[in-house]
Amino acid sequence: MRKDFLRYSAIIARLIVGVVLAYAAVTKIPNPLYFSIQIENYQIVGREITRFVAVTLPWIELLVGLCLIAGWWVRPATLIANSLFLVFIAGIVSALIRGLDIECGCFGSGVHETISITLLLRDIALLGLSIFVFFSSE
Amino acid sequence: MRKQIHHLPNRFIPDRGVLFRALILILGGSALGIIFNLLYPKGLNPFLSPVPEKPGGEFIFITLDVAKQKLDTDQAIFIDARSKEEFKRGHIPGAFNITISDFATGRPEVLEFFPEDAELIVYCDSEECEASEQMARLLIDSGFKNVKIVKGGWENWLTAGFPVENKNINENNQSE
Repeated sequence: MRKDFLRYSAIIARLIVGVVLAYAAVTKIPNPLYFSIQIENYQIVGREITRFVAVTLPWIELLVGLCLIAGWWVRPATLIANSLFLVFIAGIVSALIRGLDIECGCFGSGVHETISITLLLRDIALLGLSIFVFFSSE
Repeated sequence: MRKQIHHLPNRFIPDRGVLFRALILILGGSALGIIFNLLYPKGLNPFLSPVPEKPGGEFIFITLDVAKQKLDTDQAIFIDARSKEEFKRGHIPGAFNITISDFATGRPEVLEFFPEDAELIVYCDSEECEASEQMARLLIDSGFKNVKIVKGGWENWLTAGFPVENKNINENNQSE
């Protein structure tokens, strides 16, 4: 009974993380320049790197998201998802500490979210789900 | 047997197979992203220099006086990169308000009305604001070839006592 509950929770957690990542990717892919400016606003990495991240990150998110939705390569995919969420959390924390009033850049077109504690908590929750999926998958 | 007893600790450490597949996902995703962006008309080429630069390595900045001259002789299109609220409170006469987030869903429609070789002069709030540089980059990436930035921005324009347009009062109320 408890085992079933864990198993189903793991599936739901996997789908949530997968859908969020795939959605984030699909909304960012059409507009890489805009995404690069959002990354730039965090003022953490230089423009050369920013540009590279803007080109590659949404596609990594897409692959990872699709793997999680489909249930393929779940451990490698969650390993990447965990690392991504850690990086996002670090970015948001550092921006909040520096008092930057910037857009999150979490999702692309049309979703305007300013970084906040709520966004930080959302990412921490996603990290938690992703870690749970990692440890509950074979 | 090993599997039975050491099952739990093992799953905490990703084995080589997991790391290898993770690497494939990262490299595969990156490769897809690069190929897509090289083929996509609105894509970013990650191998190109990120800033459209002039030889000095910086954007082309113009002083307030030069900007004022361009305004007087009607030579350029002014683009106000500040927020809609700030724009409403006052702006350089005839300026168009385009914000960075107007690019969120692609090229803003208003740009269709400007010829690509038009001289576009961008400004934002002050000397420190970054919106004008980002706007300049967005405009250059949208195909405009002659984009400049007003050094000093709106604050200094006001201080200098140059003409201001404010739609809330009468048009050109405070201009010369």
